[in-house]
Amino acid sequence: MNGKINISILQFILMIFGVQIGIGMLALPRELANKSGTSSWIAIIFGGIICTIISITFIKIREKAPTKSFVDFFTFYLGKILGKIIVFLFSIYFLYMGYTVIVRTILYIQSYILQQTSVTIVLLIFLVPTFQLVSGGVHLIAKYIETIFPIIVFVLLMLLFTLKDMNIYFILPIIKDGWLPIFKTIPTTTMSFLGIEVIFIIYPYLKEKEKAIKGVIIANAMSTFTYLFVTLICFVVYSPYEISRIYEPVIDILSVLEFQYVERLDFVLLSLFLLVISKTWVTYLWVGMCGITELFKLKSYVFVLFILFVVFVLMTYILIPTFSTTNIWINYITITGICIIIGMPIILWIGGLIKK
Amino acid sequence: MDLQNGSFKNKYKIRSTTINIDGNIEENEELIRKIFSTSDIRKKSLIINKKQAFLFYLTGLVDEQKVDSFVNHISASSDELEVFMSNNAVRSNKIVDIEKSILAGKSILFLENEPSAYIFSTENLMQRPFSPPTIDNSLKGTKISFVETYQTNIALLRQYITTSSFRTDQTEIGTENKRTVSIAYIDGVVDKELLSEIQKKISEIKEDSILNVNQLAQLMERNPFSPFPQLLTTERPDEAASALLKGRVILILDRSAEVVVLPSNFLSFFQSIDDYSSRTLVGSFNRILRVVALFITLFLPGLYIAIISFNYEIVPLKLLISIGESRTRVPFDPLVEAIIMEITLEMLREAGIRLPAPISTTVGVVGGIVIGQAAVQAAIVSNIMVIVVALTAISSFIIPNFEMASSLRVIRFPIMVMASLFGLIGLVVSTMVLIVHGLTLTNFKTSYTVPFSPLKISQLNDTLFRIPLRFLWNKKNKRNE
Repeated sequence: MNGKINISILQFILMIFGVQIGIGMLALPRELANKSGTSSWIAIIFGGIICTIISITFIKIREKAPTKSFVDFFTFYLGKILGKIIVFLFSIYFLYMGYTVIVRTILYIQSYILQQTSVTIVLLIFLVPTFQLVSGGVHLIAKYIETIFPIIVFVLLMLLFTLKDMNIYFILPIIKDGWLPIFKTIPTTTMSFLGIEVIFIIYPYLKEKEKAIKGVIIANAMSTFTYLFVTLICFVVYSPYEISRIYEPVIDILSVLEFQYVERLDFVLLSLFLLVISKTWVTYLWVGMCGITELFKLKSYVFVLFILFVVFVLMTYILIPTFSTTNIWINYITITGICIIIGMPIILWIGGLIKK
Repeated sequence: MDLQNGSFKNKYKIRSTTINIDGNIEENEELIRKIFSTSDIRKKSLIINKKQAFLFYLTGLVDEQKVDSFVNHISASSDELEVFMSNNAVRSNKIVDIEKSILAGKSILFLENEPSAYIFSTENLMQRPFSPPTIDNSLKGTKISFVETYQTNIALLRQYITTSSFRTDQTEIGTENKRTVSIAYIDGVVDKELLSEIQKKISEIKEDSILNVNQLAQLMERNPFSPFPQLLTTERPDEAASALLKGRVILILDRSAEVVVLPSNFLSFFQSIDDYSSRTLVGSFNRILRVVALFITLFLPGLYIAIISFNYEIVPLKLLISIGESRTRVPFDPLVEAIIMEITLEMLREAGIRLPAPISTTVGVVGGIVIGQAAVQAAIVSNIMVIVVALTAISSFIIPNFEMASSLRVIRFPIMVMASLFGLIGLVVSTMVLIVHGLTLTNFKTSYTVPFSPLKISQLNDTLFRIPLRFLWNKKNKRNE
């Protein structure tokens, strides 16, 4: 583990919250409505509870070896070869996730704001602050997330202005088709809480480790509340038939907002929201880089980061991602993510049993 | 003694081991003339107790009255000479000391058959009278600024901090031209680690001929390439005193009319003494005004360029029509238009510094009104551009610290370029880069962006709003920064 142990509990909470709230929030209402109609917001609460339990499991596992680094922890539990393989796959997953988030964000930008700029160029300019942040390490990322947090609050408050067109009957009756569709939707909502696997890597840097469980509960509760807030607002403003046709209900809702001095507030808010989404991809990329450099014992972190970014730019230039290709990537990632968060404790538990 | 050839160092080597030749004042005089072969050295020939004596000093550095009074006293008390000398003079037989003393403004007396020289303190503290501050102006603070002599500056500070735990440590920096640096702090309030780190950093300064304290601040900064200034310099004693009371350390350099406050954070560049002298409501309003001024200085030209070039849908229709009307005749790109006006304004500002006072107001009027109006009528720039540039300039002058305001003025140019290339997204990315960069700056182990990150809620009561003093100065909060 390289670096001092001084992330405060507030930064820890905000980091987990930040990784979870990313681009998932923009399309969540539509996915939920497609799956089980407008009473699926209850599934968010269940998904949040499940993810809180899983996070507490993670923390409990991590507490057994509190200061071991990423690689050491897995080799401790699973032996050298298997541990290293798992760490490598984990790192690839994180890097892939980070890349998908950043490309998806740029596609949103391209479709709403900068229609004629190519994805590669926008990727290039976003990689500059990403480079600064990822090479600065977890302390810088934690401070950055702490600073950006008020913007989320501001954007959410702005959403309240859209309620002037609300119609409460869109979500009544509360249980429309019974409990079964809600239970079927729970896997979908669990996917939106997918940032919790970074707990494994961030935990050693936390200063007040005894508050970790409380912190995780607060972080998941905050994410649940945010998702609930956004989903409920979208559900009451859009009718149940309309919402399954609009791709990003959250952005669309904001485009209706009009003040006397600013029309099309959604541009401003989307641009501010970019700062919020940046937390997600920066944390993922940092975790992935952490794994790779520790695995291969690389000294010049900055150089490898630079190479990685060049690879990203080339990939984007050649592959020219679109919404449909990134949809496929996101599918793969979410399936992998669910396997990880459910499978990891099981594997580690088995490994611990075998070790004994 | 051969002092003619040889490098400076060679001379020193010889000097440190030689002493005065026994009582032979002719040879001593030759020695002094060789070291100080300048025309402002003076020699007074005296007869003391029937012995020949020579008095050497540099004119200009000595107070002639003090020299005369010493000479009179020596002649008057010729029977109690020993007592007088031991009371009023320091004896030394080392050439190094003698040279240093003459350069400091003291007078040297060589007495026949005396193996050592007598050094009298006859310095003329060249000091101008106190004057109001020029850069750090304020309405309600005191109207005295620091002067160039460090003894007076320390005395000024002592009038504000009347406790005996106010200490100063003195060192000299520089190799050839030595300057005295005083480190002032209040014992018991200051952090000992901070103090030892500052002392270490000062002792590592190898550069010579530091002209003023701003250069010293630059040498002590950790990140000289950063656009943000990291150390605060001030010319007001009340600001320095309030910083000392918060546990900061003040560096006072001789011959420089400002002092350095260490460590400083980003917020300290936006605070002025007037905030604490006004009531809560007015103080908070001024603070909020400064935050607005910060955003306007950095982002208004960029925002204008981004809106005109890329995202014109943000602006309501009526405003859009008037902007469009004023821009119809302009042949240039918004970026080029903005840069023309901004560069013109910066040139006017620089010119105003160089000119004597009556002409600079004329230049302000000519530049601002005539050139601006003429440029609009010649359709080189649009009306809205002139307004934007003027607003930006005014808001950059609101920022209390001159260094920070200048840095912000420079930063807005890259932001304008990014806005013209990528619109609002360019602004967002520039903000990200600036925020991340500001978070990486540290200053003698404290973070530059305290109290925003790491978040210290108890210290947030003095940032945007300034809560009433009786709550602000609660025992718990007072020594916390």
